[in-house]
Formats: sequence, C-alpha cells, structure tokens
Amino acid sequence: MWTPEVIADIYRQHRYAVYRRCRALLGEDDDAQEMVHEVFLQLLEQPRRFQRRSKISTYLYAIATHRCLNRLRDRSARGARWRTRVAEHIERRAVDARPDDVVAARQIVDLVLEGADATSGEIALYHFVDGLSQGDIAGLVGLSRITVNKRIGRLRRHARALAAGGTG
Amino acid sequence: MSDGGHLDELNLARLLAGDGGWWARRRARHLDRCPSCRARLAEARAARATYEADPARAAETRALIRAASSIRAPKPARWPWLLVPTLAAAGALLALSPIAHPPDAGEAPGGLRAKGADVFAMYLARGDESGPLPDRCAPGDRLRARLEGPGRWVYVIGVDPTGAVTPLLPDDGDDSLALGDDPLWSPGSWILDAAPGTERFIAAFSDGPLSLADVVDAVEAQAADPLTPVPGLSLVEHRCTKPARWGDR
Repeated sequence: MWTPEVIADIYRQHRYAVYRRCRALLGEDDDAQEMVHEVFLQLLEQPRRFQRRSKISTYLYAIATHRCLNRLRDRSARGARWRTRVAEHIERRAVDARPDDVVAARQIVDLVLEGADATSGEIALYHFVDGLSQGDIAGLVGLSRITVNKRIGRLRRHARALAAGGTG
Repeated sequence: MSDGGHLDELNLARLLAGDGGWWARRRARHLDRCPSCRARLAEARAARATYEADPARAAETRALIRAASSIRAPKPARWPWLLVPTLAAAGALLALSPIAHPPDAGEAPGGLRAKGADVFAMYLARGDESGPLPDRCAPGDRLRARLEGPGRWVYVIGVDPTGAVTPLLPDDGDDSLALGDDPLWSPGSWILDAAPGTERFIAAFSDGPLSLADVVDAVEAQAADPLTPVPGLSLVEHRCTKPARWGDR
C-alpha cells in the first residue's frame, strides 16, 4: 500500500492543506514548509500509525497540529516573541465568544502552550480556536467524546481561574 | 462542522484535500446556501493554486519519492496493530470466542431489514441459551451477526457507550465485505465487557466497497440529518443496554 508512488500522490493531494494549517499556527512561510516536510516524513516512516479510522486528511491535520504545538512550546520556552505572535493569531481566530462564557485568548495561549498537558492543549486549540465539534476533536486526539467533553469543561474552569487571577 | 453549520478549519482542510463521498455532498449542501463559506473556500483554493505553482513543489515531490524509496516498505499488518489499540481504546468488545452452535436463522427472526433484501440480524448467547438480541444485555454475553444482501457490500461497526467506534466486520481495517447469495455470519462472537450503557451495532450496506472512515462519515451524516437519506447506503442498527449494575435490569 505504502509505495513511494502512493506517498507521492498523498503528498501532492494534501500538502497544501497541511501547509495552510502549519502556516496558521507557526506564522512563517519557511517554518510552515519545513513542518510540511516533517509531517510527511512521519507518515513515511511510521505509516502504520495511520489506522484508517479517519480520512487521511484528518490524520494529517492532527499530526500537523501536534507537531506545530510542540514547536510552539519550544519557542514559548525561549522567549515572549512567539507567545505574542500566537496570542495575536488566536485572538483573530477565537470562535468561542459567547458573552457568558468568554475565554480570553491570552488564557487560551496559556493553556495551549503551558498550562495544560499536550493533549488538552490540542483540545483547547481545536475547540476554542478552530471551532471543531467534539466528535471531530475526539477523532483527532483519539479519545471518546465524553472524555473530550470533560476535558473542555476542565479547560474552561482553568481558563476562568487564570482570568480571575489576572494572569496572561 | 461547527455548531453554526459553517465550515470549520478541519472541514476546509478536507475540502482542499478533495475528500469526497457523503461527507462532501453534505458540505456541498451547506456551501450552496452560504455565501461566506463559499467565499472562504474560493479564497483558500486560489491560495492553493499559487502554492502549487511554485517550482519548489516539484523538487520537494522528487525528494520525497527518493526518501520513500530508501525506507523499507512495512509488511501489511493485521490484528496486532489494529485490533489491540482499538480494544484498548474502546474496551467494549472482544472478537475472540466462537459460538459452537450458531443460532439457526430459521428460529430467530431478529433481523432488521433495510431497503431491498438487506438484512442485519444479531443474536445473543448467554450460557446455553441463545436468541435474537434483546434490549437488555449483560457483561459476558456473546453476540453474533447474520447479514444478507446479495450483490451488496457490508461493514459492521460497534459504537460503545462513550461513542468510541470499533470495526467489527471486517475487523482488520480492510474495506467492506462483498455479500454473496448465502447469508454471511460473523466468524466469531463478540463478548460484551462490563462498561454500563448502550452498545450500538450498525451495519452499512452499500453498492460498492467502503472504508471504515466512509462508514463513520455516513453514520455521522445520518445522525446530523436523519431525514435526509445517505444516497446509495442503508444503515441498519441494533442496540442493547447494559445496566450500571446487572441486578438493575
């Protein structure tokens, strides 16, 4: 199944969607293109991790998100510049804007980059920024919908606590 | 889809990648009536055209093919890599234990009939007793399926109380099975675990082979819009509920 030709076809078909995702999260063309290569190399080296439970487009979206967030965490640890850039991006894209349940973008950044474990950080990004359904998020992170729902509730409480404490 | 029905980032990525099938048809219905999503998609497609026109893309593709050629192709794997993680995640069913004497189809009228000749029947065995799947079931119950639909293709999935999906037939990640003139019995039985809640068993009958992802997409599309049939597909569902404590039944 995973012949070089098949991989190349998948690359041609999906590379722009992966690039777009990485560009949105990383903010730089060169970084995004480098990350596209990393995503497809991971698929090349570990094809069995794709278990066909979702479309490959969904799987690549999840890999791209995971790897980009890891890179952002590294950058966040090295300085505030990336943190500010990500905060600006998330402020532009945040979709969870119900007046009675607003989660400030700066607090989301805290959750995504620092205040949550890796999977919860990805759930925060998918839910608060991308606006994905809980079912889609469950498929992307490999958890049940019920678990995703609980994690989102926990993230909301955590974000509110951060906001009440005046951090971010 | 987001709650408002507009394209979310994942939907957009899938449309850009050219995902098809029922999922795409459902998105197309939304796009037909939503100018803002149409404009967003058109903008993304234009950006893609610019990206793809960059000569660097061809060089990258050649480099990827070289890299792919240098990596030894893995042998096809079946159960070890698919079934074990599946069960670890879902924790609901085990497809291991054969039922020595499958129920006689003639004795058990428990089949639900979809359009035409599609039949999905489920049977439960508990101890020495067996019969059509009842509304209530218990940990340790053994289940089997009988499927009929000459010339059709079928895929059976289980959805556990947490919403986790497990492929049941086929259970190895392959595409759906072709049905012949004779009924198809599940080769083993599925044993229910102790997790309380409702287990769903869904058979997807189609005119051609489907992947697991196709079936999951179709089930979600049907759940989101029950009044609109998914073209070319029949979904037949059985449910049984395990009480929180078996004594509660």
